[in-house]
Amino acid sequence: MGKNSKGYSTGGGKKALIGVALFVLVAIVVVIILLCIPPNTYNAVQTLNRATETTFLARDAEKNEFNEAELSISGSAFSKYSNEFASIETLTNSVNAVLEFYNSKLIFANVDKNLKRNYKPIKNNLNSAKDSKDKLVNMINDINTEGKTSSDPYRYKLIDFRREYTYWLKCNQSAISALKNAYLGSMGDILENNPATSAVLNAVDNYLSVIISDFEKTNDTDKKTTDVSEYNYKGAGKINNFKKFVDVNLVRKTNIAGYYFSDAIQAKFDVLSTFLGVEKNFVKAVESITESGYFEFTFNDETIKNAVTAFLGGN
Amino acid sequence: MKVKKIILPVFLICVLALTSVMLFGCGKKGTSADTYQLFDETISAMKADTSTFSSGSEQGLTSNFILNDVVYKKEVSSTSAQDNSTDYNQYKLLAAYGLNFIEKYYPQLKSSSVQVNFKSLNNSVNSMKSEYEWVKAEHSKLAGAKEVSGLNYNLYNGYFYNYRTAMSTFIGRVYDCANSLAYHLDREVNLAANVGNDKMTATGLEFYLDYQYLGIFEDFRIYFLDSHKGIPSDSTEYTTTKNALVRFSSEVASKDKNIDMTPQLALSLSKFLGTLKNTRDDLRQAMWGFSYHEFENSYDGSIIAYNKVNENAKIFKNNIDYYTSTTFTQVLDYLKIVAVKGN
Repeated sequence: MGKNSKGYSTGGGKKALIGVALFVLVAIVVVIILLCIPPNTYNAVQTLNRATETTFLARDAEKNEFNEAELSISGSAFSKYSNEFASIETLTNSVNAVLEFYNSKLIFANVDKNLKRNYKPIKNNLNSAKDSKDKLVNMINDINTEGKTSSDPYRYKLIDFRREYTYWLKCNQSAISALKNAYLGSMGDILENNPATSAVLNAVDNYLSVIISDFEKTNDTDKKTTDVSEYNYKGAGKINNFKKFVDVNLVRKTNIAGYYFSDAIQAKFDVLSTFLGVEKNFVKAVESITESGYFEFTFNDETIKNAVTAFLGGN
Repeated sequence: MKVKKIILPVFLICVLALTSVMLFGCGKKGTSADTYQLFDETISAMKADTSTFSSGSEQGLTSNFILNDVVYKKEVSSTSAQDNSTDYNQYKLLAAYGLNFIEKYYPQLKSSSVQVNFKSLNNSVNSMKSEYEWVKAEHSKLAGAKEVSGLNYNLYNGYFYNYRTAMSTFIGRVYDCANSLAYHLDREVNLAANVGNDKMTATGLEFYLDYQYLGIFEDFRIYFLDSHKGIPSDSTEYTTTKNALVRFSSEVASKDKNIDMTPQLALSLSKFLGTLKNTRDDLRQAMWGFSYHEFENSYDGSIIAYNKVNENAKIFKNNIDYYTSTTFTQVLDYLKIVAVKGN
């Protein structure tokens, strides 16, 4: 004889358990999906694309305003700032050329972990640079409106402009650093990703670090509380060399595009790698550049000296 | 209990359906010999068709498959036109190389015992054959139009443009077929497996180089027949690219290959060609993302205007123009030294 079944029903509890289990399963699936959705790296491409079109001094109207300010400064009591302004224009054009180089490439990068890791700093820093640029444009308009006065407020505007420009540079340098990482790690094995590329893109990063450091030192000495006689701009040599460096290596891509096809370029970079392999050699070499573009750094070897000075835009 | 009565039969039906699909899908693999037969019939038919094709040479490339009558009437005044046989030379060259490749390598299938699914390869042959029938028909109409005395050149060109469309599609199918055959021989027969090591054979190295060159010719096919929609352009970039194709054909692809090179040199060359392939993948991405035809016709050659509707237009165009004018020249010079016999 079988046992009698119990008098109560267990159906309700079972259903509740199934309901909870299904809910947990759906929740797990949703979390997994959310975790696996890749960051929209295409936004970094779009941000960079727009940045190159709207960056400081990219547009003719801004260039005209800037040149007007330069002229105004050269005719003022603070004409010693005009050299710095000329350098700022040169430097800005070179920074924009670097962004243009990356802009021509980022869309071809492999969408991998490396790119995803770098897309946020690229995007955030370019957006910060854009905000800074808007301030710079207003400051230039302000300088033009102020007129050629000999009063301190005019000088203060020049000081404020340099501080904001330094910040603009830093945002771009951070973006460029992330772009470098994205390029070297995610472009894959293509003709334009070779030892020359690596040396060039790392050099851009280091060059900008030194130049920004110079601007920061100038900011520290040329304050509103100090006398204008303490202001002593000495950045032209480095910036002019940087321009030559960018023109050869990123605008014309002489070394990057030629690496696989030229024994001479490969030999040049073998020599450079010996120098660049020693820590801080590059930074010290760039820091030693004088106003006239001469390298005061002591090289141990004439071959290395010629290769490094030519690479860094010197004669 | 009721639920169990429903679930069990549904489950059994699903299993039966899945098994049937798998058996059906896996069943018809075909054999290498059958595929060889299909290729042989198709290629032999084309070779025998001396109306549509001629034997001869085009930009240094010798072929049994030079398309005939690739000539249109180019206007010289509002009432007259002259025969122009050069504006569409790239059609002849592209078709010739693709068909040459197929003709050279399909015999490998005859004695192959590899057991894979030949369905895709067979489909590519049938597709090519189908488009060949269309080209043959349009050529026949054009040839007929040529015979009509005093036919207005605009009417003649109407026939030519239909022939042009058929040729363009046909060449696309030729390259699909050639690539399918190459893929099979490379990945499934492993014909180029030992390139760069001591077991390397001349046959394997030659196939490897032919396969690489096929890819380069296909780059040009995409440029001329997809991005430009097969219509010639007066732009400097177009002329530069056409010259690059001619140089590639006459100075590299049509020349004897350096198949006696050492395994070390072959390894170095294969590394370079691998890097070049990745670069060419970016080039193709650019070509698929930029329509020269649209740029020149809908936007009057204004990159600013085109960029407004295609925000990467400028980037893609610069990439293509730089490759075809600068990078490819360097590639050609490299291949001439390393891959061509006697240099």
